[in-house]
Amino acid sequence: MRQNSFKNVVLSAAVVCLSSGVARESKADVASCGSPIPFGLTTALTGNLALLGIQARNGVEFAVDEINASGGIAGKKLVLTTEDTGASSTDALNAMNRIIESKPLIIFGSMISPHVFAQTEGVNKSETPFLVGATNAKVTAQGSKWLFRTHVHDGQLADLIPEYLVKSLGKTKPGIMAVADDYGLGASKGIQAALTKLKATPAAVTSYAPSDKDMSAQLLEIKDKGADSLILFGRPADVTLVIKQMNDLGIKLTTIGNASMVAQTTLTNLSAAEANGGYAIGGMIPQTSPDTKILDWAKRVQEKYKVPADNFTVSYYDTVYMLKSIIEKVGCDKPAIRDALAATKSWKGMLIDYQADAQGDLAHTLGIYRNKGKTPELTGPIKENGF
Amino acid sequence: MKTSNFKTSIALAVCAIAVLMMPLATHDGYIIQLLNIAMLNAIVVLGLNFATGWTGQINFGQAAFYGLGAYTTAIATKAGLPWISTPFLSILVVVAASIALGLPTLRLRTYYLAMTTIGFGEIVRLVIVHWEPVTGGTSGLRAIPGISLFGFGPQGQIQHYYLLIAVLAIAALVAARIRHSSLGRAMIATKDSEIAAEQSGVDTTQTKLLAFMIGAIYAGLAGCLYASSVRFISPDSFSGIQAVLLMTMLIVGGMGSIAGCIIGAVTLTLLPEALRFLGQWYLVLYGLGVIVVIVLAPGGLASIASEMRLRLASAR
Amino acid sequence: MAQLVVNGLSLGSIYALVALGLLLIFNTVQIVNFAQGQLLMLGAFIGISGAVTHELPVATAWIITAVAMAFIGIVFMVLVYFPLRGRPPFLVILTTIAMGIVLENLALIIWGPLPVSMPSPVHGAPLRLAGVVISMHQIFIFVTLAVILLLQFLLLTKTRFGILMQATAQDLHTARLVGIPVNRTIAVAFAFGAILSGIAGLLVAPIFLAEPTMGGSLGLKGFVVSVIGGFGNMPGAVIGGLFLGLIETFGARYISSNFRDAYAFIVMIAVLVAWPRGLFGEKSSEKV
Repeated sequence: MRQNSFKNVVLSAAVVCLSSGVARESKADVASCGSPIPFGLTTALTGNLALLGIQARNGVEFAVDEINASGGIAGKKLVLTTEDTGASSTDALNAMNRIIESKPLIIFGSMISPHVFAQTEGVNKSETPFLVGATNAKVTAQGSKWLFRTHVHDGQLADLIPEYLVKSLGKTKPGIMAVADDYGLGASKGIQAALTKLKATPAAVTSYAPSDKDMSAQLLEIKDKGADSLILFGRPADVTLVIKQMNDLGIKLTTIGNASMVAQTTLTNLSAAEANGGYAIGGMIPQTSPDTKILDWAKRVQEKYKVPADNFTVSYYDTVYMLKSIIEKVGCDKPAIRDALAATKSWKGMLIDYQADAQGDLAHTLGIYRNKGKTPELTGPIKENGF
Repeated sequence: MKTSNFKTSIALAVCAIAVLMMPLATHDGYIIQLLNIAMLNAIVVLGLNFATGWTGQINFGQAAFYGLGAYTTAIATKAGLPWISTPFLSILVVVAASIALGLPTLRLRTYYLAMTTIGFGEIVRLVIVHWEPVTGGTSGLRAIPGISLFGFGPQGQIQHYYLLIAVLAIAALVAARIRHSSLGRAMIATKDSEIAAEQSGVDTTQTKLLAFMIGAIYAGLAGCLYASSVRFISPDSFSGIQAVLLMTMLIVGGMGSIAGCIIGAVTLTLLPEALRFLGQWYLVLYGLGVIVVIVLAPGGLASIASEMRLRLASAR
Repeated sequence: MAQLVVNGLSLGSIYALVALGLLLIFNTVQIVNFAQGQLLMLGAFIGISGAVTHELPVATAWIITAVAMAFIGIVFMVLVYFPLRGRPPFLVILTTIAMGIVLENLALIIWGPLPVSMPSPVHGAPLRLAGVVISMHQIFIFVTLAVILLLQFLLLTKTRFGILMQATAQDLHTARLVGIPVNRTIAVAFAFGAILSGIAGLLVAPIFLAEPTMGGSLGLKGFVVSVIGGFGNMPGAVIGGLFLGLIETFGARYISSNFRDAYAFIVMIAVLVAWPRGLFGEKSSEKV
């Protein structure tokens, strides 16, 4: 009995070794993929972060549907399992555990950094490539070799916004307003550090709670302390209010902020006079592209999901296609996919090129925008220092 | 009588065996982690029961005590302190906080007390969010060291599962002992009628304060275990919304009943996960469900369970 | 600094309106409606449905909203008050919180999460006096609050029905015994309580925009105001509301904007420590 089993084990081991060796040589690796190919996604679909989180779902799902409509990857369809992380990181952890049980080939995480922090260890253990849009600079500093970020992050913004403000716009005494969640506070800290390096001192550093409606106290403080500009880091809903109130109070300051400044959601609720002149540096948005195909894409996404496409939608959409091209090359082998991601030199996405650095960040190109009335205009792409 | 007792014991024994064998059925992973969190919630709800269920003091600050325990533990272990110190530190912090909360609010009536505890929870949350150098702010604290006593500690969710079963059992037993002690009787008397209780010689002020403190200790210790087992914490797990959820666990499970606390916590931790496919509708149904339970079965699931037992017994 | 006063008072007026709605219901049936903020949100969205989606004149939208809110108030009464009569206040609190969750998520499903704006009933350039900017809408908010206070005062003290309502508030059982149509007065209380919050929502939407989660924070501040002013006390609610608006605004400006929400609670706790029945005291006493 024992000898038989031993022989079986040796034989099976030999077969496995041989076949995996053979598989590595062959180019038709995709044939080794199961069908359908499983993708997993966790993002906030309910709760107070839903407005942010659905963009991940929109981008991934739209791409997956498109790919399936044109035959899938080498004839195999993709199946996307989505789990809602809700608003708390405990729920995010549970959602990730659920996704991992469905054994996906790739897992997409959301752009909500506390959730991604909570989920990373579990994903590491499952040894699955983890693609996220989470913007906290430290997300890629966790030392996880499976985590890759395909959207620009606060670390880049914290450097580039002050630099642009001081060097290109010539303002040296900004007031800072940030929304008091991970999005805003993380950036605010980085921005303050970068300003110090540029020998510029903020006139005032303020924040507001995500549910706050009246930011006039903060605006008045910034005005009273003699700021010559405003750095505004928030979500579209609150950025709208800040800009409105700034106008109502008659405060005229050069304003620069994150992508929320030029987001459709923000501009819909502002008048042309209110929106005019605001600057933004952030992930690139589709609405300013001269390419009609891209504008059409944005329109179709909006029609399907009733919410305008934004920089995250683009990033997640690109990521799915990037993975498609990787899978076509290396098949459904998770370590191979991970290696290919880490080795990405220049993959052309919808609006930017993606290039992997040592930490797992693939997005290094941001857009500088300026609102002309209610229409954002692309002043130009700007690359992270060193890229 | 004897038959129903025997039947109850059999039922409990079967449940106990099922609970202990659970990891064999599901292995490491999603369900076990979920159950671990459910058990931690159960300990917090057991704590809430002292002040709210037995003493009649509404308390929306329980999530804050939970968070204080978790953050104390995380900050201490990340600063290099040995794990064994964390339960004591957590207790210290939450007792101080509960006294700070309890003393000014002891004279307050229901609606004022509700608002004050909400305010307390919010203030704690704001401090955690903005004291970034110490608490990690909104990004939270990660890579928290796990439980470690003399170099040994539970590894993996399954070992934590058994540990938590033991802790929960102890928590429930302690609660039962308190219930049947003079303190427990004082609590119930205070809830029924403060004036009458005072007349019978109960120091309602002290009773209320003790109820708050014991409840806070339960939550603080649960927080300590949460930080050490989940090993990542952020303020959104201890927000005002979580406080409301804990309260609904108490109500739906059965206010005043120890079994009810556990049933409510487990049910309302598992249910959201099971019903996630409902999307936005889930919360609508959740709210309606809570209202239905309050209106139709204010004793919660525990009362339904005991009513069914009675029905079965009387149907002989 | 004067600007802070103006903005603080205008914000405080909103809080006062929410508190007034709360008090109307509380005075009559001893229930604190923790879903009052969500009623404000419904008012805002119904107004927007009228004025923006269906492009009706703003005044018409206001009237429709008021009628709709009255109806909603009565439905609320049927769903929440009648089933829970006689139950401990603690359960009522939980029920109203649950209703708030239901309303907020229904709103998310119906109207989506994106913020929407609504035009103000008043137009015109803002006033500029001595460096202070007062918008027409802010003046409209003050005027509305004053008008509502006046109407409420007249209604409660000068009309027969109003006096009946006061009697019901003082002692429900005795009122019923002497033949007062108690159920009718309760229904009116709920209806008007809802209308008041609905109006607050209509006032808020043009300046703060409307989105389904807006009710939580505003409702909470309304409760804080009720506590500070002392439950049952209408003038207390108004003074408390204005006071809170000022505290928040000045605190955010001169102490720290990070802890703006905390100031409300700190003031509330401080007031309660000194005056456990609120600054102006409650009307009803505890029954033994």
